[in-house]
Amino acid sequence: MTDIKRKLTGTALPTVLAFFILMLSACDKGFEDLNKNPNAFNEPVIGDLFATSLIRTAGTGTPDRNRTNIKYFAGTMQYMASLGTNWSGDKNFENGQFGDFFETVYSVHLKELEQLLALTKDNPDMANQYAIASIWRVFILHRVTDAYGDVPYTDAGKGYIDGNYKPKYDKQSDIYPQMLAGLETAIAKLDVSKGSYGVQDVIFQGSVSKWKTFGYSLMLRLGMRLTNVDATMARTYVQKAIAGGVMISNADIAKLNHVAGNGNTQNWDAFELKRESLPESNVGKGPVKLAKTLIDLLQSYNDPRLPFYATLWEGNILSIQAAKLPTTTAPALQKGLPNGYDANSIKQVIPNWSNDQLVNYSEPNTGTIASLNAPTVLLSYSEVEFLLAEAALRGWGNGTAADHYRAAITASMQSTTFFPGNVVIQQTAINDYLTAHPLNGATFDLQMEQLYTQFYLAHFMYYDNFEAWSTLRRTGYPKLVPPNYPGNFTGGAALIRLKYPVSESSINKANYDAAVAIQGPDLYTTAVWWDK
Amino acid sequence: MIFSVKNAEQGHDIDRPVSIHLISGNSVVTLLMRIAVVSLCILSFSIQLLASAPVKSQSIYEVQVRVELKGESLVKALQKIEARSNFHFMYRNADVQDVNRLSLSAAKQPIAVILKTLLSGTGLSFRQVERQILISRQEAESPVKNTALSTMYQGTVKGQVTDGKGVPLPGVSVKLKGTSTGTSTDTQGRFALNTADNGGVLVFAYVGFVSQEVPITGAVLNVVMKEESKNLTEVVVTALGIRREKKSLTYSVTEVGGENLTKAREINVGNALSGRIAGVNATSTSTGPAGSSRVVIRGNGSLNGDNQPLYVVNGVPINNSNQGSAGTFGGIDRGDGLSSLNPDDIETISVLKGGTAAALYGSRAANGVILITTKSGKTQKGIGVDYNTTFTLETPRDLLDWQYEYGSGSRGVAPLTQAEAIANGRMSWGAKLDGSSVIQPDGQQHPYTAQKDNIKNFYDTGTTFSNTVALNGGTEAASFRFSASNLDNKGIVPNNTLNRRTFNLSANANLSKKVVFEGRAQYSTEENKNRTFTADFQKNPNSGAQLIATNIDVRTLSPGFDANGNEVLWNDYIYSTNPYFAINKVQNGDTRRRFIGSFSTRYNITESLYARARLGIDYFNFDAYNIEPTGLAFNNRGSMTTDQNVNSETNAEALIGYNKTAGKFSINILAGANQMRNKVQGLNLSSGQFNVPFQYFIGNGSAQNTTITYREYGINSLFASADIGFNNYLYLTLTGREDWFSTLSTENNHLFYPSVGLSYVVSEAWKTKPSWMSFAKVRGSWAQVGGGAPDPYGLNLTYTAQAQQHLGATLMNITSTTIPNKLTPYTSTTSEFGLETRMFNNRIGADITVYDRTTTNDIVYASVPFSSGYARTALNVGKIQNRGVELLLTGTPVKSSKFSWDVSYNLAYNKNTVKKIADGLSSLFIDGATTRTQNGGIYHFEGQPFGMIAGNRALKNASGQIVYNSATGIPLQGPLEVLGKGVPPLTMGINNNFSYKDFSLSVLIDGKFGAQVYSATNAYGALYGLDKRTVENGVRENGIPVSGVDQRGAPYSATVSAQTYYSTIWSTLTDQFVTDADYIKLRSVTFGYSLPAKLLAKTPVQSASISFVARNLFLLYNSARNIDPESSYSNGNAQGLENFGIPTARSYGLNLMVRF
Repeated sequence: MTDIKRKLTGTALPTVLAFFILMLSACDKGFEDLNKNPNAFNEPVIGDLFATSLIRTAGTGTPDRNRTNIKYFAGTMQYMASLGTNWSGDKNFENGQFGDFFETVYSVHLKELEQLLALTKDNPDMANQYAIASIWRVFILHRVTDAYGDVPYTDAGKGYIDGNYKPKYDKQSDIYPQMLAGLETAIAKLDVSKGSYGVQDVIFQGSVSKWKTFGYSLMLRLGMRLTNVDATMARTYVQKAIAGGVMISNADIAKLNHVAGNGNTQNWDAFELKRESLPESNVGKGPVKLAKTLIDLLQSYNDPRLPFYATLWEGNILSIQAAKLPTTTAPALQKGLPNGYDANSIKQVIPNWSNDQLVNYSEPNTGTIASLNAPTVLLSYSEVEFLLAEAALRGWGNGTAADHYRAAITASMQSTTFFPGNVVIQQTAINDYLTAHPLNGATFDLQMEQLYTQFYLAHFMYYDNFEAWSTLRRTGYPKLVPPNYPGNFTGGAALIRLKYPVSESSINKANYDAAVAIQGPDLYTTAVWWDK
Repeated sequence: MIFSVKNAEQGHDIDRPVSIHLISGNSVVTLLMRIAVVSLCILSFSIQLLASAPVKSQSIYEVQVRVELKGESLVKALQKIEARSNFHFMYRNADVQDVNRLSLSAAKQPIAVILKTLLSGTGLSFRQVERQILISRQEAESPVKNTALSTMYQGTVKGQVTDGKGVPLPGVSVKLKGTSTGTSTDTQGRFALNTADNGGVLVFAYVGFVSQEVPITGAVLNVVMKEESKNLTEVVVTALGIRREKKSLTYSVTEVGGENLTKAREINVGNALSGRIAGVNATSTSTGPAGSSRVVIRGNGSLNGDNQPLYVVNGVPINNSNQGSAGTFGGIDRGDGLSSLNPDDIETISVLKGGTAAALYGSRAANGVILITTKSGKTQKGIGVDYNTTFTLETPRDLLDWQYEYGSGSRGVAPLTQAEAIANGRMSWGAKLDGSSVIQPDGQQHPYTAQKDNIKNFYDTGTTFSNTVALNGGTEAASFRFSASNLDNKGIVPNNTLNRRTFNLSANANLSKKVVFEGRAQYSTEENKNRTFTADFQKNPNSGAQLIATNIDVRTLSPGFDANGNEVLWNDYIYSTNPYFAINKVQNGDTRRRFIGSFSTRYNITESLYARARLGIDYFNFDAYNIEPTGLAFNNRGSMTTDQNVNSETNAEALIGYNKTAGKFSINILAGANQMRNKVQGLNLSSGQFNVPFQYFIGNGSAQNTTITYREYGINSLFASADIGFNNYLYLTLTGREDWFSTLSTENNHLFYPSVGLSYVVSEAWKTKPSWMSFAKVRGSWAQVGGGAPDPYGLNLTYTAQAQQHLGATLMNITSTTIPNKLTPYTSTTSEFGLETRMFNNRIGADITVYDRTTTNDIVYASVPFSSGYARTALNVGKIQNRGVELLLTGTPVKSSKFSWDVSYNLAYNKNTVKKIADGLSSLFIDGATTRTQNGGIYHFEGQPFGMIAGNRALKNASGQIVYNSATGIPLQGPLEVLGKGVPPLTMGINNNFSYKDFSLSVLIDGKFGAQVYSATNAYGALYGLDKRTVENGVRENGIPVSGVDQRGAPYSATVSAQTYYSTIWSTLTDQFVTDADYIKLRSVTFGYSLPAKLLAKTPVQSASISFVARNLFLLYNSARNIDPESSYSNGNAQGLENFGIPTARSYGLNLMVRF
């Protein structure tokens, strides 16, 4: 061993070491700099986060539009029908996508917004931004609690900010008061003399006063939601909203404009409909059509919106659309497909059925409401007027129910101008319609039915089947007969709730179990708190 | 200079001002490390200074030394020779200690001559193995003949020397025993030697063969040399490419020779390891010829890591990452890095199992290391040419055994219109097949009869044609090998092709007496067209071909598109693509251009001290496109993506080594440093909604998107090892490595990886060992190694700006769905103990190893609920244990001059237990590993083995009765529970080699046992009325009787129609489609014939052989039905899911090898 030592400490090693030191830095610089990502931002632009949250919540680029808004609720609402078995809402048949909306709300709609809220919370210069984002948080989360019932609210989206990996579920009966109070607080903080997001506010272009109106209108929607469970609270907030100032014209409408072009600008419902449900290559034989319930009602009411809503398939072929739409939208030609049947069982209701007949059934008009250029309407003036009509009916609001009812229908029919297609429903047509369908029910219930049957027809324009479904559940109108497809998961009953995603029942099990213990079995037929 | 190359590679500005700053905390070690990291620079510099001495040879027959002995011991004599040469002696002390009183004149002469003189009459013989000279007692069957029997002969002796197969051996040393008279054989193995004295004995010596002494009995002496039995001095490649005597190893290393890979070849070398090595679980994927492989050594050690070994080619760690694979919802497998290698270029594959063998690789060694050494040039006269060609045919193996009694339709009724026929295109719930005329999706009437040959009719016969030409040659100063190869594969799925070209150059040069240079470079191109979509239905031709209703001939769907180019629908679900549209219109392709280079210089400072510097580069360009064509039913206007990425890893390594034998001790120590830099730059373009149909380029799309990916990280390392041998029977190995990571937070960014091992060669130490014992050794070792170094940029939340704005508003999102966290690599602690013995002249051998490998600090990418805003977070908390036993039995039942039979059997059992996942987390879902039917998936459960198949059974009440939904008669779904193992614990292989005269036969059979597989094929088979269970026991006619209790617990019984039952339970009762995945496969067969040397004597051909080769010929046993249990669609951690893969292909053909 001494031999080794002698050799190592001889001449060779010192020589080598000398070289090591000489060349030390040349070979190893920048080691610690490697871990800086040159292609990412370490600090966000607040307004960009807000714009992202707005467009994602409106469905841009997210799976909830196709899987939930279209495949579940367009069917549940009997706006559309399908012979395909993967259209869950049409048949209440399992397709495994019941949890997609839940997952998307928290991980896409809310994710950037939570970061924004954390970064602006204590910044007085950003008080408006924080308040607007707080209002938007309520908008995002009210839809998920409406669909699933008890859901994470307080802990929602706090995985990075608080390290909360297991959000607990809040009871819907706690969420609603929090949302309403939260709206009130946030609106109170809005200072119309100060700026906000500017052009990054892709809904109101930076108008703080419009957000104020939006906040009160949302309060009206959420307050009215509680009529069946807590009429006192409902009345309190409906009246606060009205006093604060809700939308007063179509100019106040909350909408996100779209243009065809790319995934971040186009209307995503339209894109999904054209991609999967109404591809041009189907040449009219695709298994997804407008529903008989909707078409029959529009036809029997002689509704001037029918040509705006519906067309035969040739009107949906882009290259011939302009030439075909005038003829293919003729109201008499429109035909709706009954809900709840497949390509075989449809024969039970349409003897001698052949799939070739599908060409005679109407499709949503891709030149108008289902155009890639159509705006996404998040909260409409028309809806506000319907709610004000109900408030008047209940004696909670100003004016007469009939006036608000007429204003609601008028606002809806005048909204066609927001959409592509240059469709204008003339005031005379509107007046004729209002004359033919006055709010004249003999009882409160009959008036409610009139009100919300009209809401059903009006709201189709916005293709916001989430809110249509919530309103249906709360009011019971219009009266829809749920399908009873063999093997359906509701046993022929109406779909009144979505099941929690499997990811929650497995990964957030303790909180999930606690929620189920309180709310009731995790089923499509378990009513949410306000739907009693 | 090497470093300018490296810096340019990294895009560093080499003129940047030099700054020296030390990592805080551990400055001494850091300084040392930094010192060592740069040693490459010095060495390359030193080499330039010193590379000038004359060229010297390396054979003991050529190297001359001057040794003077005056009555000294043999041990002393050998030490003197060692001191004056680069050679190193190996011997048993017992053999040499009694040889004393040797004298020798001071004349300079070849070492071999000196040794002959010294050992004459001692009963000892010598043999050179590279730099080592082994001195041993002559074996009992040593070819020494009794000289008394020899006839005296005078004059010139001529003859030819051949090996056991009749191949002439050039360069064999032929010496007249006891003299300096000698010659060597020419290229044809011929020699002529003048023997002046009376007769005598000729000594034939050749590296790799047993030296022979042959009495001169006539004018012509033809000698057949026997190859050295490998068992005696097996030298294996170990960590850092150092060759070591297998005897001295303290851990388990298994080597597979390249010859096992070249005949019955696999395109992906990883697949060729199947069944060959105990403890190595190699799994192929059912994704096509250029798909990826999964190789796991001694069980899965990490819950989320890739669990695959580090692959090192000629000292260069190579990137084996998957470039894209199929998931639950389909996709294509873009293959892995191993498919870049040409088996013809591989000399050996050395598998360093587990931590102890691989410990020198530190943080990358947790899953073992596979060292691939490519062929290098050989010293020979002239240029040798090797030509190897293989042509094989591949045919799909049809394992589907559907019901053939009922045809398309629903509720017992056949379709009446074309629309109905389309709606029922994959529904076999129709009427009884009766031969009547029934409409099909093509609108034509066809006989309503079973179509049993859809697999045969849809798939092609694939072909693989592979050609390699290798040139090699060299002198003792320099040698080279160059090979070029081309492989063309036509897959069994029509329009799927692969072309691979590899060019490989290896050069060795002794630049001076002290400087040895070695350079190896490979350039390869792989071009794949139309890899097949597997899993799910989208664009997957397999699901259509395999699920089509029983009475429809799949060919009636051809060509799959109409006059306008639109997909012709054949079923009710637009995502279930027409199989002919999928093969005729759907397009994808990828090209990989790859350079792997290794440049190493060794400088022998003294006889014992050397320094080595090595630069390794793995650089590849991957270019891929994927087109959803115009007319595709579910995406009518089409879309496309292109992916380009550039991957590089450079490793600069420098080490100093010292080898010495001093008395009874031999030591071999080294210390070095390594600097690794890894970089990926990618550009992904996508575009959809083509403006002009049928024209596929990004600019044609109306929605274009660009994504740039970039990641760079580095590891700096210092390492050292010491091997100390005592008296040739006791060996101690110590290693240590410290790694510094760029991806860890700077305050705590380094880890130390130690190992220690001891082996004791009983047969050497035991003086009175029984005669039947040829060899016996016990060994034990312990090591801590690492794995799963964190990804770059994982420490902080970052944001990404979206390429596309919303009407002028810029958009920004949080980059990742993973909550950032500070992580370290996980640690894998391995203890192993082994026993190795050979008996009866090495006719029987056994090698048994037991090990425990426990991973701690495992990185758990724990899924977090989406309600947290994120999808997952990473935590260093997991713990997994693998305990197992490996057994290798070898035997030579028959050994005669004409016929021999060698057999080897390997078996491994690995018991894997997930000890801990994370606090409060007792199960972990493997990301994306859900069954296609979405009623289960692959999970880790605490206390269970890695990767369990979990799903639902029918709900049962407390007394075990099934609970039914009384409204429907369908069982309710029970809770999620474990249904099977995804990874087989027991694997084995048996390899038989027979040789008879010039014929040889090699048969490899392998099997895996104890795992299960979830078959989506069978679930869909049940849903669509194809599975046999839908007709068995008259269920179609009479319904399915069910009985149990209803939801309220009241007794319940009913009869449910089979269609209702199966079209519900297919997606609710997971357990119905989980089957055992045990199998035994006839993996490979080669039957070869070597042309006799006599036949070739007058041709330039040195040797030639022709073989019949076959792979995957038969499933000798298969416990799964309708599927091959190996047909996984992913090489990731989620094993045990099957879903419409490409049928396994049987491959057979001919191989021709010619050497000029």
